[in-house]
Amino acid sequence: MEAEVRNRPSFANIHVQLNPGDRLIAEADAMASMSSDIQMSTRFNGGAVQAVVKRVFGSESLFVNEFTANSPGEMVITQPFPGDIECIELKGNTMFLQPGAFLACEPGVNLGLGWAGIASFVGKEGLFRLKVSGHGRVWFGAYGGIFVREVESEYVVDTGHLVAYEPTIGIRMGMAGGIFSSFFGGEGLVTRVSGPGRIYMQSRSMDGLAAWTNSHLW
Amino acid sequence: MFDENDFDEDEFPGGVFSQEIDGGRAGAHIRLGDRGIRARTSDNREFVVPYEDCQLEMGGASGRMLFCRTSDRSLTIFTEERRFPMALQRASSGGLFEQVDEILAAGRSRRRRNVLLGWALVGGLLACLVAGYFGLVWGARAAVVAVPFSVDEKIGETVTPSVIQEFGHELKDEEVDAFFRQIIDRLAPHSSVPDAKFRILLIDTDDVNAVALPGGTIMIFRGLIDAVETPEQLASVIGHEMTHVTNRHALRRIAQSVGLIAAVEIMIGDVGGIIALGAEVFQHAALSSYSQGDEHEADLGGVQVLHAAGIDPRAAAESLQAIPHLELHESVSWLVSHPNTTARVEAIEELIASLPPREYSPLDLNLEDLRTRIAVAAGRDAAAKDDESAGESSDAETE
Repeated sequence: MEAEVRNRPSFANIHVQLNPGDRLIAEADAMASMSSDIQMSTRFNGGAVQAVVKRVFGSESLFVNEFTANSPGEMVITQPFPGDIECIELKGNTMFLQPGAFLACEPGVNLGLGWAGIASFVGKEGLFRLKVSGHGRVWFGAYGGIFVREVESEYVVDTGHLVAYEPTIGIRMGMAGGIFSSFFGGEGLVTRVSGPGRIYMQSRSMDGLAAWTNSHLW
Repeated sequence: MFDENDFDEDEFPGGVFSQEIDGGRAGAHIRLGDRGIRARTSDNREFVVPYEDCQLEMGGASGRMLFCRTSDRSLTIFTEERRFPMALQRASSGGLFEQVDEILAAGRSRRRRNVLLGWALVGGLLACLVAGYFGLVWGARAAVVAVPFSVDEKIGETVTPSVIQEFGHELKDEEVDAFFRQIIDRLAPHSSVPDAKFRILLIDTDDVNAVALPGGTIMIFRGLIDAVETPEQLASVIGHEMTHVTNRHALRRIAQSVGLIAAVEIMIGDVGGIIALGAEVFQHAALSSYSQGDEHEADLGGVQVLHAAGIDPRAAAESLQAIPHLELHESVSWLVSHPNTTARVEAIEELIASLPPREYSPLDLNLEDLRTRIAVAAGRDAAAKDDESAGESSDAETE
């Protein structure tokens, strides 16, 4: 199976070339187009209980679609909002994705749900996070561009900009500066991440868009 | 280098950071050997952090990730397996043993703090829920005060037909109405809403029951007329129901109910009919216990109305003591939802003892005449119903 992310970074989508026998698991409603002879089956995202938990707490779909190619074919996977898509390859390691970021993966990848903690919830990153582990490629999307950083000591990310991170990354919430500058400077709470590990961030945040839209409604 | 005999049986899931790996990291199976911590990646590459060159650090997303690094930080093996620190302590010695000891002590301290924090959060959440509930109750009471009494009357008018239908049918008779009117005329001027338009409907059923609807309509069940021993006891039940009306208990319950449902919907959004159902059950329980407070208020309000109207208020306690001996047929019976009778009688007697002394005059009404008149009216209604049925069947035959 060959995959390429096209139209980056604003309207990224994944073009996948499937060989006979290849399988791809994708978020429900992520498929934009596909060859007519690719078979699609729908199953719970994990077990039934786990799927419900992922839906309620992880903002993920209740179901995922599994695409199987019986003959060579192609398909396009996309996300509902404008932004970039990143691909990571798991080699027995684990990655945490923020709620709603997951798009697609190869069959060797396990999709689980992990407790993110109160700090993550306060930082608007959700109480739970999607845990992907195993072997194979995983595609995830973001609103805006995606940029990567290797964190060795401590690094500050504004709330709503963290998209994915390794389990070796420590996360705690804090203020951007003093009380006055944190709240009147517009930064408020920030996420302080500590390494070692890799983090993926998005250049825009949905909360920022919502706040900007609200301010122009009246 | 190490051979397979360097390893013990324990194996831990984790990973490794190294510049020698494409991408800089990989998942790995970790083992403790005689001379160091070994990590084997899925492509069978092996990495070793010697015990004497190992520096430990806790961190990661869970806060339980243990990083084992070489002093030049070129290689890091990590795992968050709970058994690993203990196993590492058994396998190590010297400076590393002390490092593990510190890590374990910090872990114990963190767990204790987390447990305390967890309980504090649970306590805080419960306190918020309780405070929210009582806030809603208080808010509902405050909101009801601002609503005009005409709203109660409109609600009462709307629900009266369906409530009558639920319990049976209304017995209409002018003499019975006149009997009830005398009691209302005596009591109503002394209620807290003297302008309220009170009226009594007689429901033809054996159930011992009385129901007050918002606005002033009081339903007295025929079974209750049979159960009371004196007209004053009947007046005490009517005084009790009048207090439900004037204190607007029905509207309070409606406001409280709407407030709770709105709060639950705000909290859970559209998620989980099961949770909403649980909230509804809780709400029912909460309202049942709240209605006991209303009953207490109505008992005392009824006594004060009787006293002010010059009717001996001891009738209120007597009626309570007389009625429980009778069989109750309906789950919504007047007494079933009411608090413990002994406690109610005690509260009523306590209030009577504190009232200023005055002369009471009995009601100039004959209960037996009322019962006879009700029986006549019931027989007349039954005969009319039979005639109606006969007329319908003869019409059907003609057709």
